[in-house]
Amino acid sequence: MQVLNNVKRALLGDVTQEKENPILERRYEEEPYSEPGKTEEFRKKILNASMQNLKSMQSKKNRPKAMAYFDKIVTGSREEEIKKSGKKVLGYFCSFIPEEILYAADVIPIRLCAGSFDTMDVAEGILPRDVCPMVKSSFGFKVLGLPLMELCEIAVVPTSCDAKKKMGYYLADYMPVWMLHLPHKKDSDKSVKLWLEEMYDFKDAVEKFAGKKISKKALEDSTKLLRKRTDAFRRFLELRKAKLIPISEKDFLLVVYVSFFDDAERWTKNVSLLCDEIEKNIERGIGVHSKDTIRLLLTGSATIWPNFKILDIIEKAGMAIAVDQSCVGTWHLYEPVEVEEYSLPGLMQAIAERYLSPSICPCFTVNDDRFDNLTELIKAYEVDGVIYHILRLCQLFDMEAETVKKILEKENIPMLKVVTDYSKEDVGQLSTRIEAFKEMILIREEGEK
Amino acid sequence: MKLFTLSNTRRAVQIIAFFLLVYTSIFLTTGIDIEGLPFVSVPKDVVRPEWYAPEKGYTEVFDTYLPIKSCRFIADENRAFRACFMHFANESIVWNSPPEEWIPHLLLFLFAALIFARAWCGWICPLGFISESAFWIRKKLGFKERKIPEKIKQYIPAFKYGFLSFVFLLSLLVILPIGLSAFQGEFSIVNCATCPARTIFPLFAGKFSLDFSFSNPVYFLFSIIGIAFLLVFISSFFFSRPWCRICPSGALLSLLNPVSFLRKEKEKEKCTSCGICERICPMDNTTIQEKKGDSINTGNCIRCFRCVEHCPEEDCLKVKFFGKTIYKSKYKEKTESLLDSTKK
Repeated sequence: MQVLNNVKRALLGDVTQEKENPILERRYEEEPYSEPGKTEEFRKKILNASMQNLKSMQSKKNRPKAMAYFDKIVTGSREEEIKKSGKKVLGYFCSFIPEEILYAADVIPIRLCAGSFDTMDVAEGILPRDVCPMVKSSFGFKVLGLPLMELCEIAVVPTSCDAKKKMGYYLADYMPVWMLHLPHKKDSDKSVKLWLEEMYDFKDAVEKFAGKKISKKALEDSTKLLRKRTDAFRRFLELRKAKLIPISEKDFLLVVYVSFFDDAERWTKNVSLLCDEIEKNIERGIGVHSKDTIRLLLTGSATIWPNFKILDIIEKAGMAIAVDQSCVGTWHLYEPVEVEEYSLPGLMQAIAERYLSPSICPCFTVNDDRFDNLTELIKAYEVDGVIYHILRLCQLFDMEAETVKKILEKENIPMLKVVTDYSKEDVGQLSTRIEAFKEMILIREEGEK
Repeated sequence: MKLFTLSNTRRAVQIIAFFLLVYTSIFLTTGIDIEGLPFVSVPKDVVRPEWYAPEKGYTEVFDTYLPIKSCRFIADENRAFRACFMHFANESIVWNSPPEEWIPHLLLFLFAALIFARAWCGWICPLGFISESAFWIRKKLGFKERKIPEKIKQYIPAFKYGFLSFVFLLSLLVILPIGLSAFQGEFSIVNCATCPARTIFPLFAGKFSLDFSFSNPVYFLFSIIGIAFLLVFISSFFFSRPWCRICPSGALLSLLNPVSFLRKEKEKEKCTSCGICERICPMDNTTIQEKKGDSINTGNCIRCFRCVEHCPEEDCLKVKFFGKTIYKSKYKEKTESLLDSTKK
C-alpha cells in the first residue's frame, strides 16, 4: 500500500516536504509597551498630515480628475469598509509577500510600511533611537493601536534587512508575527528552492489562518486578477514616458500607496480610468509641468505617504520627477506572474520566482540588476539627473550609492545623494542643496549647447 | 484570445510538418524528381539487404534539411522515404557512395543548417512535436511536471556528442579495410536502428511493430540502445523533450547553433533576472544567466522562441534573421493563447 501511495504521490505531484510553521516564537517575552490613550490624538495627527499633502497636491493645475478616487481612499474610507466586510486581514512588510495566495484564501492583505513622522517617537520606547525611520514609524502604529495596523491579525515580515528582522522580533510581543526566510543571495538555485519551500509553508499557514483550503482554481483566479492589476500598472508606467510629464510623482506614489490596502479589482478599474484620462491629456498636450522642466529620477529608500518631504522640496525647486526606482513606487507592482502551467506546483513556482528573482532590494548581496535597471530607466524616461534618496540609517542603500555614482559618471548623468529622515528639521538645508543641484544641471545643459 | 501568437504559429507549422513527414507516402506521390541534375542514383551493383535499400537514389534536392517525404519506417509501399539528414549522412558513408552523389546534398544540408540550425527541432521535427504533445496532454490531465535531475543533466552533453561520434565512427569503420565490411548491412544506419521513431511513427500509420532483432551481436547492441532510447522518448510524458536532449540529429545541428543566421539576441541591461525565460524553456536552458557570461545561442536551444514570447521586458530579447529583427519581446497583457486556455 505504501508503495502504491508513493507512486501515486510521485505522479500527482503532491509536495511532500516537512511543513514548518512560520510563527515567530520568543522565549523572553516582554510586557508589551503601549500608549492606548493617545490613539485618537495620533489618528488626528496622521489625518492632518494626509490632508496637508492632499491640499498641496489638489492645488496643482491639470491634476487628473480620476485622482479623486485615490484621495478618498487614502483619507480613511477603506478602514470602515474592511471592518464591514468581516474578512480576515493580514498585514505584511516589504514587497516580497505574494498577495496572490492571500486573495486566493479570501484574506485582505495590507502592506504596513509606514511613512508617518508622528508615530516615530512612540516607538523609541522599545526600539533604540538609531533605527531606520520607516521601521520606527511602522512600529509606532502598533504601539498606538492605529489603523490600518490595528485591523491586522497577523504581521508577516520577511528577513530582508536587519531593521526589519529585529522589528519582527519585538513586534511579536504585540501580535502574532510570521517570519519568512528570505534568502540573501537571490541569484542561486538554492535560494529559489528555499523561497519556494517558504512559500508552501506560507500557503499552509494562510490556509489555517483563513480556515479555508486554497484550491488550484482559487489560486489561478487570484493570479489572473493580480496579473490584470500589473497590466494596468504597466500601462500607467508606459504613459509616464510622455515628453510632457502627465502626472506628478506625488500623485503616482499616492496611487501605488493606495494599492497597499485597496481592493485589487477596484484599484485596477480606477487606474484604468486614470490612464484613459492621462492618455487624453497627452493627446491634447496637457501636462502637470512645463515642457522644459528638468526631469529627475528618484532612487533609493522608500518615500511613503505621507512623508513626501523630499518631493516637496524638489517640486519647490522647480524640477520634476519623471520616474522613481523604489519598492513603494515603480517596483511594487511592476513584475508580472507569468504562469507556464496552471497547476498548483506551476502556480507556486511562478509566484515564488516573481517575488524573489527580479527584486531590486539592496538587502541582497549581489544587486547588479538594480544598476542595470537604473541605467535603463534613465534612457527610457530621458532623465537629466538622479536624486539618490537615503533614509538615515539605511546602510544598504548608502553602501550602494558609491557604485551608482561611478556608473552614472560613466553615463554622464549628475547625481545628488541626499541622506535624511522623516523629520522636517533639515528642510532648509536640503532645499539649498537641491537648488544648487538644479543650477549645476542648468549649467551643464548650457555647456552642452 | 489572440490567435496569431508565436506559440500558435509554431504549433501550426509543426502540425503541417508532421503531416508532411509522416503521411506523405499516403497522400502524395513523389513527383519532384530532378533527373537532369547530377544527383546520380545509388549504384545498382552494390549488394544490400532489400529491407534497407532505397528504391530510388538521392534524386531530390530537398531530401536533406527539409524532407517532405516520410520516414522510412512508415513508408513501405511506394518507398517515398528518407526523412532526416542523419539517415542520408550515415548511409552515404557506409555504402561508400561516390562523392558526386552526396556532396551536393551535404552542401545543401550545410547551407540550410547554417541558416536555421536547430530551428528544425523546435518547428519541424515530428518527433519533437509528438514529444511536446505528450507533455501537453500530461498538463491537461493534471499530472505534475518532472524536472530532469541535475545529477543526470550534467552528463547529457558528453553523452549527446559521444553518441553522435559513435554513430559516425561505426559508419567509418565499415568502409575501412579492417574486415568489418561483412556487417555493412547491419551498420548501414546505426542512427535509424536506434531511433525511437522506428516504433513511434508506425503507430501513426496504424501499425504497431516492436521491430527489435537480437539475432547477432551487432543487432543485439543496437536493439538494447534502441529500447533504451524508446523508453527515454516515452518519458516525455513527464519530462519536457527528454529525447531532444540526446538526439544525434539535434547534436549535429547544435554544432551550428552558435553561428546560425537565425538567432536570438539579448540586451543584458534590460533583463531584470525575473527568471521567466528559464522556467518557460522546454529544454531547461539558462537564458537568464547570460549576465554571467552564458550564451543564449547555446547548442541546446531549439529556437522555439518561447522565451522571447514570454519575456516581459520590451526589446530585451530579439529574434534576428540575417541581422534583421523579425520578432522581439514585449510586455503582453494577459490574453490566453489557444494552448494555455483552461476549461471553464
